Amino acid sequence: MKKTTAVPKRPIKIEPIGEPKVLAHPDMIAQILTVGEAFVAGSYRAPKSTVTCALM
Amino acid sequence: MLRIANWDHLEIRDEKYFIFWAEYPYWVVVNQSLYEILKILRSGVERNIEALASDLGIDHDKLSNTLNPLLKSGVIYYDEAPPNVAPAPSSGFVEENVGITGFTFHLTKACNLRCKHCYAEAGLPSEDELTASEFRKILEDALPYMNAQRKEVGLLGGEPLLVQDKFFEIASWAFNTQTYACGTSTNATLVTHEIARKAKDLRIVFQVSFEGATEASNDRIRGKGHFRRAVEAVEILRKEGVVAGIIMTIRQDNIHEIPGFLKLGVELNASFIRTNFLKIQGRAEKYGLKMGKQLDILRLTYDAVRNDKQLQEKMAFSTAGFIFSAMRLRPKYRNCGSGLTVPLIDSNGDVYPCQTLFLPEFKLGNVRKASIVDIWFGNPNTKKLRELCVDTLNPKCSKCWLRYLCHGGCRGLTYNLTGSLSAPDVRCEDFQRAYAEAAFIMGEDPDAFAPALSQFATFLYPDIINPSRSEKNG
Repeated sequence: MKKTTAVPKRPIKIEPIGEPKVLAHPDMIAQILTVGEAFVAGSYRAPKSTVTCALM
Repeated sequence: MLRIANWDHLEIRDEKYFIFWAEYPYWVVVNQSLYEILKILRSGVERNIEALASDLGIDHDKLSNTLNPLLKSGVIYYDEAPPNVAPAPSSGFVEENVGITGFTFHLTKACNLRCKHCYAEAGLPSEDELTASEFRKILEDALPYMNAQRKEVGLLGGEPLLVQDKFFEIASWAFNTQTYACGTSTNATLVTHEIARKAKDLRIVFQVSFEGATEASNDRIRGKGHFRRAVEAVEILRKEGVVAGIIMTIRQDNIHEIPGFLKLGVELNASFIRTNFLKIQGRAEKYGLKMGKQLDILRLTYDAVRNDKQLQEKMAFSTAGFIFSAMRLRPKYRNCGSGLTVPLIDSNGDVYPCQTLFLPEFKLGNVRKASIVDIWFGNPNTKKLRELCVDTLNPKCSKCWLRYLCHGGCRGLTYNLTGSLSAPDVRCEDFQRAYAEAAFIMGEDPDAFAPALSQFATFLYPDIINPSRSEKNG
């Protein structure tokens, strides 16, 4: 952790409405990492392939 | 100090906030409270997490955990300078990565049907169609220039089963040499148990085409009797153990049949169920057929499968499956890939950049006059296509928040409809609405279409993806 003694330069005026929450983000499910790695490694070609040519 | 990168898109529904950063690309759906905090960060306040938590009266650890995914992604960062935007997975836009990953072969132009949406306008065979050895030579010649782990060849037509000798000769060579995975798209009218058994042995993936969920709507496009015959064919293929799925091209007038089509897929125990967009060329253009909207396709599909994870997996390569997976994987595509990875070889040997640029003005050469390698890598037109980049394609695309996921859409479709290779895809706003819809759905149901993801990585026959795992190699 760095710079833990920051002095606010401007006051924050709003009151928190409730618990802040991320409802969804891309890495939210467990399988993502494995598939993402496959993608980076170059084995992921689905959208460009013929047999699996989904093309949206 | 904590900073946040400026977001490119914000959409609000029912106190849920969908925020998208184009460059990363990254997105979140957050509640109102977190949105207010992100707004505070964006206003440039001088705070670290501790000070921010303290000012807001929020537990430090809770706030830290909440912001963690955004910190990991880099859209929230410390100090003045934003991190270099991570080089997101690329389609191979970079010149040195250009390589052929597979082929689409029109084995013949002959077809026993005259479907009203056929982009290839199949019917009678072309004069002097390529032989099996000529098609095989293309596959052999390209091998040293292919860097994909999984190399694929789509054996299409016309109707590929009208030229069965050619079909099986190519597939046998591909299987015996463990070089290419073969798939076919067929109207299935000629499928027999014998063909199915051979297909199973050679691990050919079968995709059977339907144009509706009912006999009436399907046969209106494909001709009387097709629906019953195609149903019977899928039953035969599945009974013989072939990986066989079904596909429906979505039009304005059959879109409402999506739920029924999924039901049909379940009843037939189809290996996969796909929906695809209508290519407005060939007969589809002549008959004035209209595409279905992406947003409607996504919504109808999700509503039909929301409680069925198995079905979601089977729909990995459907329109909806693709959008959800693209939102999760965030591939940073800069163009559509035409002229980049999958040459289309027509039955007479003519080479085209892809299935949607199957037009005389985009003919790149003929494999009887030059090798596929010389044509693909040497033709200035393929270079021009590869250089198309969503960042510079046109003013609208280059500023669009969705640009790296949509990559400017389909160049072939755009060219067919506008006469321009660089105009925005006609489905632009529809894409934006569909991707935003997917995000809001995941805001309610974070695992929506999650099972589809595994399919993207593992495909259908793992032993062909990784030859060391095949029966052949022990």
